Amino acid sequence: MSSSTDSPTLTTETTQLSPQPDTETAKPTKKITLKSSDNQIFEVEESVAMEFATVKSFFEDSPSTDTVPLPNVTAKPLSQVIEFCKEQIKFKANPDEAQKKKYNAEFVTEKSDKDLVDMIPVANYLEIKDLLDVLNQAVADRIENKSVEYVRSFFGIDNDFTAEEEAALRREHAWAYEGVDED
Amino acid sequence: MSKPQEEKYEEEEEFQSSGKRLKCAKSFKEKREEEEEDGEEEEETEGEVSLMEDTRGGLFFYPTNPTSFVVSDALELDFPIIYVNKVFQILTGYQAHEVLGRNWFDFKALAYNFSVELSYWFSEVDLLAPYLTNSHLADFVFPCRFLQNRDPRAQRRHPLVDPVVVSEIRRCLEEGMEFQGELLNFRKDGTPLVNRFRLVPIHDDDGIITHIIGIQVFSEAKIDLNHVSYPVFKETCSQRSDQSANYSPCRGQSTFSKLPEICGILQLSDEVLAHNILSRLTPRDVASIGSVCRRIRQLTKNDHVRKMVCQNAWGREVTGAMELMTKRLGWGRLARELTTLEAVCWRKLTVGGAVEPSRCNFSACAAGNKLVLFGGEGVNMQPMDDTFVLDLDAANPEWQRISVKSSPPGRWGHSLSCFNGSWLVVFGGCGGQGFLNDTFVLDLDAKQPAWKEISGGTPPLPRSWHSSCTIEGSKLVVSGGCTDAGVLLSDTYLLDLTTEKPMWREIPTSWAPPSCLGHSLSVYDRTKILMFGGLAKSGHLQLRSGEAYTIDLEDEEPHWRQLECSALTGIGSQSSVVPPPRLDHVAVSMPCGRILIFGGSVAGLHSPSQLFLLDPAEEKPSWRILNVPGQPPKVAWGHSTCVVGGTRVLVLGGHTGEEWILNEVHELCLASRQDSEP
Repeated sequence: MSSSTDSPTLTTETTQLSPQPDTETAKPTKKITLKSSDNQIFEVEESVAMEFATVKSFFEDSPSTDTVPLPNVTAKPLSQVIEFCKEQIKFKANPDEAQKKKYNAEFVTEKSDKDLVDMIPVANYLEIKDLLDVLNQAVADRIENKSVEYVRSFFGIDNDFTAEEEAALRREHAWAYEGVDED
Repeated sequence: MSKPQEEKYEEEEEFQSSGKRLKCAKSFKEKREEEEEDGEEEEETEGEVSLMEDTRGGLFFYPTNPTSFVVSDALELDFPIIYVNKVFQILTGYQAHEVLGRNWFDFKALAYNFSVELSYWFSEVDLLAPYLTNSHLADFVFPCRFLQNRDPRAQRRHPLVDPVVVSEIRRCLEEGMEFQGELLNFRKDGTPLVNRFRLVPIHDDDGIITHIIGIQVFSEAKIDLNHVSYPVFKETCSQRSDQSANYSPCRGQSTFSKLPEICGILQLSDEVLAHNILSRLTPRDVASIGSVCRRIRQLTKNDHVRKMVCQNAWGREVTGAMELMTKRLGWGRLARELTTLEAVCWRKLTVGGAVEPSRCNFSACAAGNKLVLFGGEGVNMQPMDDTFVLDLDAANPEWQRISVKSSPPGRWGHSLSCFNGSWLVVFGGCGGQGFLNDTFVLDLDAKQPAWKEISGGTPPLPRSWHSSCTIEGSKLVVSGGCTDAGVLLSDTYLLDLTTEKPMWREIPTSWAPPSCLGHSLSVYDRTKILMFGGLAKSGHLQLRSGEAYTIDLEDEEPHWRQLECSALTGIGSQSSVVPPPRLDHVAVSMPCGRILIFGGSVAGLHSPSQLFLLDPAEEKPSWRILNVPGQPPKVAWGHSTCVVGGTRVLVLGGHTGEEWILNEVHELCLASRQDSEP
């Protein structure tokens, strides 16, 4: 396990991390306000908000803003995403791959199908690559070897095929339907 | 392993063949240097124009158009643009001073009024990965990422951009591979242009990516931007080429845009859906999930998505070998055939040329679509040292003795394996002076192929009739065999051929399968090995074995363990189907991780022609019998059988008798051949 001192990405990390260099320790940690589409306010530490590439670039463009509106994001998945990012910050300060892996696995295991699916567009919109990877793998694992109907209800997708079209698809892909798990 | 120096100066013709990208990249670098000396005002040299010609796909079919040229420094984190030529400036409307020295991400701000349609055409993606890794590239999306945005405030890519292509570009660059494609650009003033382009990573001698060169050929585009709605992208490659002259962006409009309420997952761009979710599924799940809804159906129909799925599921080494094979079959069909095994059949082919003097106990292995044969036991037990190639890409394949600068000492009972696509490695065997433990490598694609000895670390004891395999494309694993004194061995050794000075090292395991010779080692799931059969030590006796063992070399402390395989007794089947014990049999690793066993010297009166299938990754692995139509060979030996192009199992010497007739080859076709299509 490499310590943080020899990490090649150290330069980018230290700028986001507390403890800050001595000159800045006196300042209170800067908070950033995020506003979800359902008008919930989230106050998060700057370091956490900077995990969201979208928010980060927003601040780079308009540094004087105090509230970042997130019109595509509702409160529930946003709170879960913030929870995840807070933990990731800790792992950045004290790298421990095994613990991180364990945390990430637990994070998705305890979420419902709907929570996972709802978080993906949020992680994608906010450009949180690590979370997106974790979520996508979790989703892929959950729909592995499942029936078409199961996958539809998993994602909440409506069947927009006509009966004839669907029958034709089923004939074409009969090989892929054999032996899938019970719904 | 670094390529020999002289190969840097290879001709551009080499560009077309697989595994040559490294060399071509170097010739690009030289060109660039030459051009820089000449100054920016220079006209494009003839050499550059010739680079644009692409006979494979007609990619650059406007060879008379001037070529635009962009170079970025890949050693700097932000990939600053260090060079654009005059043509780029004229055609895009951007002056060099607006571009040079800025990094790609700054430049984005300058260039919002660009928008790109990547209507793509893909070259076969060759495997260079063993040479290249560059963590910088992980964040590098595309040198002209700014081109994807049109609206000055846009934080997102323009909807015209084919997301699958963008992810492919990212993936190619992450893995240090060249990318070719076609895009719809806009000049600074908004005029649309079709841009056929190629992105070439440039490597230094250590394989580090130092630069990325973008070469573009622009031509006029006819689209109406006011009539475009999301998602617009091409359906299949074949359809695309038909439409390239008269581009119609509305064609791909899907029902998605008409639905007022859509579920969360469908809010995702096609790129995220395809690259991040579908790509993690098995090819079979992807086929099934296509029936979920129209949008996903459209995505899964894309052969490029299917290829990505196969690559992720089977590994790049495996799909790389199938590239040529699938040109016409398509990845979707190939995935189906390799899953259902519906197309498996035996057939015979006759090849020309001759392997002379005649011999037995040689070793054969596949390198791309070529079959390579080395050494063997000639007349009067003479150890042979010659190398023959059978190029199965040829219209009429024939055996050719290749002239090599130097040869390893003659031998038989050795192992021959392929690594890095075109390289071969010989280890051990029985030579004129007794048993050997030397190692030689050869680059088959080199201009003047030469066997070179590798002597690093502590090589395994001298041995013969051992078994070998290659994991992750470039790590040679050797196990078992017997010593000069006839003692059977049970050790496992690894030689990492990616390193500058490959060193043999033993893989210490607390427990090992009984010592044996003539067993098979088959790779599955990238780093796992299945050992099967062989002549094994059993008390004071040596008996044929029917046991299977497995090891995962990715484990921190790899260890062998016995694989308990049950016999699957199908309905109406009378007897158990466990393969009878055998040695020097054939073991074929199938792309989806299953392993096929047949042939060899089989105990009792069992037929060596019967095929057995095992999926060692199953929770409770069980053997199945695979019945295959066509005429099987009478015998099939592990040392004279290999898998060419990922799906063609070629059995040499499938006739019984004294003479080894190498012009009659039996082939077990795992997928239907394009030329046998109805």
